[in-house]
Amino acid sequence: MNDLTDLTELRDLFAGKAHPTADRLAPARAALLAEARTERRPRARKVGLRRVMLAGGLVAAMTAGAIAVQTFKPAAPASAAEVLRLAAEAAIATPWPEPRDDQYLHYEQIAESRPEKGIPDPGTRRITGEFWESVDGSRPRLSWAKPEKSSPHRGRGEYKQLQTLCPGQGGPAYADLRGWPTDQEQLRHKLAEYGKETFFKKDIWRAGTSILSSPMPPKLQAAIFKIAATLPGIEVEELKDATGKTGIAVTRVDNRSRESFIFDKTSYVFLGGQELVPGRGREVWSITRPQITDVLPAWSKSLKLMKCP
Amino acid sequence: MPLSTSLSDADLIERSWRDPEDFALLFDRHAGHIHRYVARRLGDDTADDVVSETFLAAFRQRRDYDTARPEALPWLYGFATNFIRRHRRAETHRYKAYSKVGVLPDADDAAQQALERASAHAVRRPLAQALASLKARDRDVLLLVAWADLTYEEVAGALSIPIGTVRSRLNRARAIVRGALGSTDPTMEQTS
Repeated sequence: MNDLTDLTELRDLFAGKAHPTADRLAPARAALLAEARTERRPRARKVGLRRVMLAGGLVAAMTAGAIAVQTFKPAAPASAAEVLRLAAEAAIATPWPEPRDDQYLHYEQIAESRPEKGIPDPGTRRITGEFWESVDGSRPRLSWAKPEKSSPHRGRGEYKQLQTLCPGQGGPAYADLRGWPTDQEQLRHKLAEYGKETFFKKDIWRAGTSILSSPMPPKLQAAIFKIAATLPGIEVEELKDATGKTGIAVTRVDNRSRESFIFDKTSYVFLGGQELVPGRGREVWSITRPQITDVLPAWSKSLKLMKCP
Repeated sequence: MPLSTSLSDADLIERSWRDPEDFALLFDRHAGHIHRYVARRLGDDTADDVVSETFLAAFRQRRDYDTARPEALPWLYGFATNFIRRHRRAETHRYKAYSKVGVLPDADDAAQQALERASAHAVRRPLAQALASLKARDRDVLLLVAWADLTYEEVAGALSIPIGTVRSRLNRARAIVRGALGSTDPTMEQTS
């Protein structure tokens, strides 16, 4: 018998077992979230206190103060809705060659996570990642995360991952997004539906943010900004993106956090975003160097492919 | 939110130290893998419970996670394996039942049973019998390699055992499986 026959036969045994549906996993997920929320509750008072301070228009001086966060100032150059309208125009005006289904979207994402003072946390985390996403989602996604060399975290180095896109996991592929409506009402409905299926519940802003985190059809991006302009609780502020560039931001404020889209101050091109949870920390991210490529880099052939269950 | 898609499992777990609900994103990434693996060993209903126990246990011990390991799937398989052991008798009963009648006791309906019986050819029944006869710890290693697709190093990490032990357990289990396949009786195909 061939040395590997036994493993091959074994791999086939009960291999027809189907991937569980989201409904099947829902009770386990709900139990996990219930426990997670129980753990989170004791912090509520501190969060509330910090929020009152922010609402009073104070500047939030964060740990180490590398990124200054200012709340809305009356002298802001435009209303939030006006900034989003200009951003929608800029999205459509920016040259973007439409990729073919068999190509990859190659882009860089810089993300920084920073705790606030007094909160137990490992500290600031800054990661630069390169991604290659199959336009139609039919081929594996390649990730290359490159943490800062100066990161104080033990043992943390870069990692590369080649991952099959599985049903029900990850966001929609670029080709799927082409089919999303750009009509305001239909898109609002679509975002709510998408949010409901994912972690974001029916929160249109958060659902939109998750879609915006990778290159997308410009018309859809513009339509998302137009919808964002109609949402309650938005305001303008000045923020630095993850590359350190100061931009004009539109921030949605709710009872949990301040979530922002950051735009170039003059061109209104979308730069990235920030989520700030008062009393707990924040994350700021930017997408840079989006481009279209035909193939994955040669080194990806040496990676173990993560398959779907 | 973008961090949710770009972060490694280790980063996500570390983020859940601060924001516990983010652990649900790890669930979204890996619960399907864990469920399918457990369901192959114990059936869907028990897999529902084991997946829930696995993620709750992992959540409670998330601060002990070795963040030098970017991928958490082996760590989660380690928890799942511990919970699977509580159902050891049910698991061996399941394999024995399959080896006898060519159908799993928890097959959903008559149509699926008929399909399974038809596909339970001469190789699969002795294979199931071999699985039933393995020591639980040897079976854990064998199935983490064959069904969960873990490397030897990942199995060692998942079960907190030396890699040499992984190799010896795997060799022992594979010898038994090979023996079962070598004695395959082609006439069994006709018996279902």
